[in-house]
Amino acid sequence: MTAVAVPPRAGRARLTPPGRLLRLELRRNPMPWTLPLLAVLYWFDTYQTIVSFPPYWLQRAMIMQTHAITDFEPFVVGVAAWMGSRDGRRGTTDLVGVTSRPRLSAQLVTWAATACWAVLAYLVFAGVLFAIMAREAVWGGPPWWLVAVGAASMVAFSAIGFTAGALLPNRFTPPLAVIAVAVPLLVAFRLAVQGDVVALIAPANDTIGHKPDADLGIFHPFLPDLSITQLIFLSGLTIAALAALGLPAGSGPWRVRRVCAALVVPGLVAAGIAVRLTSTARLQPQGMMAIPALHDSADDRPIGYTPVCDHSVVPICLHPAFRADLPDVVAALAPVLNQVTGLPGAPVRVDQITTNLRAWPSLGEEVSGSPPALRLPLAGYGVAPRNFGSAFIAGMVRSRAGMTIVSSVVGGGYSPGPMGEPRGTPAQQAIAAALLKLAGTSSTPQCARSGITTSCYVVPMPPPGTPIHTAAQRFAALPTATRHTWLTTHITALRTGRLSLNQLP
Amino acid sequence: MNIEISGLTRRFGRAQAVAGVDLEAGPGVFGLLGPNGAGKTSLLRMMATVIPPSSGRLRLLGRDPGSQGQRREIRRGLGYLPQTLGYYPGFTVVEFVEYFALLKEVPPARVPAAVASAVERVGLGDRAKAKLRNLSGGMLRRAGIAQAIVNEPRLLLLDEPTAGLDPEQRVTFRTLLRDLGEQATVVVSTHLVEDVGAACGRVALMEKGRIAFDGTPAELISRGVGHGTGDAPLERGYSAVLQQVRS
Amino acid sequence: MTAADLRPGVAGRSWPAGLRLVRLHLAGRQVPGALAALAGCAVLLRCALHWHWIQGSGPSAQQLPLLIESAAAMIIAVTTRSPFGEVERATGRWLPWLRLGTTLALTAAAAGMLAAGTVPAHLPGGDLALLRNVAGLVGVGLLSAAVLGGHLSWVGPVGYLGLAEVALTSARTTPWIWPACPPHDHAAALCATLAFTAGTLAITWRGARDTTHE
Repeated sequence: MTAVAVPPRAGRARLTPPGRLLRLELRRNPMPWTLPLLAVLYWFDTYQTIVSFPPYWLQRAMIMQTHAITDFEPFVVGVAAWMGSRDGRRGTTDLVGVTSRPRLSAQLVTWAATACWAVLAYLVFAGVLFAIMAREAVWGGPPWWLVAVGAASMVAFSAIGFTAGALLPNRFTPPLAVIAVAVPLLVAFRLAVQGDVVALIAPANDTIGHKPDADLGIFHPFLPDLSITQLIFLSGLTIAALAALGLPAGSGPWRVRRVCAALVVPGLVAAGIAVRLTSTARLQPQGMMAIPALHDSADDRPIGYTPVCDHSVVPICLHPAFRADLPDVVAALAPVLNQVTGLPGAPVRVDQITTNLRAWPSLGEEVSGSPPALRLPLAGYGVAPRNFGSAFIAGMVRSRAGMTIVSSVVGGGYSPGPMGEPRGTPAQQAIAAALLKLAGTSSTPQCARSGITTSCYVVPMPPPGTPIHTAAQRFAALPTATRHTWLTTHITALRTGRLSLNQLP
Repeated sequence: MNIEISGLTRRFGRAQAVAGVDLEAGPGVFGLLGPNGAGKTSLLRMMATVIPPSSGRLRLLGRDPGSQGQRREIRRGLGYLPQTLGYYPGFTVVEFVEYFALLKEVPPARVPAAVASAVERVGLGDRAKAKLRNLSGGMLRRAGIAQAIVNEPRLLLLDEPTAGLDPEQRVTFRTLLRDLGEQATVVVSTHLVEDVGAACGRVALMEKGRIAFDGTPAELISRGVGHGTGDAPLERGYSAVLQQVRS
Repeated sequence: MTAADLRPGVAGRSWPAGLRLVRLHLAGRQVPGALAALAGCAVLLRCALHWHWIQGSGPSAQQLPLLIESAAAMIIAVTTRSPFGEVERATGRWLPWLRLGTTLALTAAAAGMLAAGTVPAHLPGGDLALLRNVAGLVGVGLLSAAVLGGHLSWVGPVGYLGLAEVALTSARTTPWIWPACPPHDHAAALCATLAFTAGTLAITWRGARDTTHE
C-alpha cells in the first residue's frame, strides 16, 4: 500500500478545509521551537519573581502578568513577523495568490497557527504558575481577567508582528518589530510607575506606582475596569493589524479589500476609545484602578471577614489571609505598645486595614476611633512581604507604626512617609524620641533592595548635643514606673503643647 | 585529470546520498543523468567544495579540497551553478556577475572584459543593467551561468543549467558548453537527455548513490536498442540501464 | 545596449576592484539598510533621553538602553545572511575578510551612532558600558547566526536580552550577564569581549548558516 492509499484516520475527515489548513500550519509553525528558550526565561524571570512574593492570588497574578507579557513579547512578535514574511522570503506570494481562496485567508490561517501556539504556551505557563499558587494560596482565587488580558496580548502581538512581516518581508522586519513593540511596553511601564494613568493601557501594567501590594483583592474585590479597557485596546489593535493584511493588491478580491479597509478604522477607533477611557482612570483607596464609565460601585464594597486576633493587653487583629504574620506583628509592635499602654490617646486595639495608596507617601496608618485603635496597613510595609520575618520588615513596622502610636499619645507627629520629619513642640519631640528609642526603633536610615525597588525607613531623632536630644536622653534614663507616672500626670499639657523642655523631668 | 574520485560517499544523517563513486574526468563535457534522489546534486556539491565527503578520495584540478590552502586554489579555477540559485534582487546582472568575478579573484584589470564576455555569452547583453528582481526565471538561470563562467573556470559544475531556458537559448547554451569543454572539464547534471546527446562527450548515469553507467552517449543509446521505454534513443538507453540496475 | 557597451562602466569607474567588491558585498548584505536601522536606534535612544524615559542611573534606568543596544545587535546579526548561498561559499579567499570587515565596521558604527545618540545627555553606565554591551550582544547575535542562520539570528540576542533584564531587575550579577555588571567590571568586560571574539570568528570562518531557500 502506498502512502496515497493510506485511509485517513477516524476523526480527521471531519475537519473542514480551513481546519485542515490550520492543522498543517500548526505542525509547521516555528513557535514551539522557541518554547524551550522561553521556558528558561519564564523560569528565571516570572517564576522566580512570583515565588519571592507571599501566596496572595492577586498580587502574584498581577506580577505574573507584567513579567510574562514582557517575556513572551519578543518571541511572539518575532516569530509572527518571521511567519508573516514567509511568502515574501520563499517567493510563494504568487503561488498562494492564484488559489481560489483569497490570499488573505491563507495568511489568516498562518497567523492563527502562530497565535494559537502563543496563546496555548501562555495559558500552559500561566496554568503551571496558577497550580503552584493554588497549592500555597491562603485567600481568594485566580483573577481570570488578568489571564484574559495576557491571552489577548499574545493574539495582538502575533497580529502586529505578522502584519509587519507580511507587508515588509525584509530581513530587518522581525528584529525591528520586536523592538517596536518592546519599547512602548517598557516606556509605558516606566510612565505607569511614575503615575501616568494613560500608560496603564499597556497590557503589562496593572496599577500606577510600584509593585502591587499583598492585600489587593483581599479586603475588596478585584476591579476589572482596567482589564476591560486593555481588552478593548488589544482587540482594536488586533482587528486593525489583521485588516491591514488585506489592503495590498493581490491579497484578495476587491470586495475583501474593501471590507479590510473598512475594518482598519473601527479597530483603531476601538483602540483610541480604550486609551481615552484609561485616561479617566483613578486610583481607588484599595489600590486598584477604577474607570468611571465602566465602574460598578458594587465592586467597592469590602469583602466581609472574621479577623484573627492576638489576645494580649492590646489585641492585634489581622485579616485571616495574614494569619501567618500575626506573631511577627505582635513581636514588632509590643515594645512600642508597652511604652504607652494605659495612657490617654494610646490605642487599645490594632486592626489591619487595606493599604491606601492615595494617601502616599503615607500608607494610611492612623490612630482613630473611640476607643482609639491603630489602623495598620500591614501589606503596604512589605517590599516583598515574604521577607516579613526579616529584621528589616519587622523594624519598618515597629518604626512606622511606632511613630503613629507615639504621636497619638504625645501629640506633634511626623511628616508622612518613611523618612518623616518630626513636627510639634520641642517637648513633644523629646518625649516621642525617648519613647521610640526605648521601644528599640532605629535612628539611622535602614534600606533594603528587592529587585529594582529600594525601600528605606528611619525614626528621626534629635541631633546629639541639642537641648531636645539631651531632654530625650534624660527622660529615657528614668525608671519605667517614674516615666509612666509622669506621662499620666502631664500628658494633657504635653499634647496641647503647653510644656517646655525645661519642664520635662 | 581535473576530477579524480574514488570510493566517494556522503551521508546525511541516516540517508546515504552518495554510496561509493569512482570517477575520473579530464577536459570535455560530462553529463550526469539519473532519477530524482539518485545523488547527482550531492556529488556535484562535493565537487564544488561546498560539502566535504563522508569518506573516499576526492581530488580536483590536481589538488586536495580537504586542505584549506589547496581548496582556495581549486576555487579560483571553479565555476558552480547550484540547483537553487541564491541572488540579491537589488543587484543588476552586471553587478551580480562582477561580484563573483571579484570574489573568484579574477585579476582586476580583466574584470570588466570578463564580466562583459560572460554576460554576452549567456545572451543577457541587452539586459545587463536590469535588476535581477525584474528578470524572468530563464534569464535568472542565464545570469547564474554567467557568474559560473566569468572566471573562465577549468572545472565547471552546472546543476540543472537548462531548467527554464527556452528552446532557442538551450541550443545556444549547448554550443557554449561545447566551447567551454574544449579547455575545461564541464560537469552537467540534468534530466534532459537531449542536452546530453547534443553537448556531452561522456555521460554517467547515477542510481541510488552509485554510478550505474559511464560511457559515451552512443554507448548509452546502444544499451537501449530493443530494450527500454522512451521516445528518443537516449531515453530508451537511460531507461534500459535503470531497469537493469533495479532488477 | 549590450554588455560590451558596459565595459567601461563595470570597473572602469574610478573605484578600484577591491572597493567595488566591498561595495557589492555590502549591498548584497543590505548594509545600507542596516546602517539606516542603526541610525534609527540612535535616534530612539536620543528621544528616550530627551523625553526622560530613562531616569536616574539605577537598574531600571538601564533597561531601555539595553533594549536599544540589543536591537542594534539584532540588526547586525541579520545582516550576516548571504542571499547567494553555496555559490558564494565556493569562491576564493576574500569572503572571510569581507565578512570580518563588515562585522567590525557595523559594530563600530553601532557603538559610534549609539554613543552619538547619548550626547549631550548622560547614559546610565556611560559610553564604556555601552561599548561593552553592544560588542557582547553582537557576539551573541553572530553566534546565533552561525547556528540558526542569518534570518533567525535575532533569536539569540532576544533570549540574552531577557536574561539580562532579569539580572538587572533582580540584582543578580555574573560576568556572563555583562549588562547587569558595573561599567568597570573587568570580568564582565572580558566575557563580552570573548562573546564578541567567538561570534566574529565563527562568522568570519563559517559565515551564517546557509538558508538560501529562505
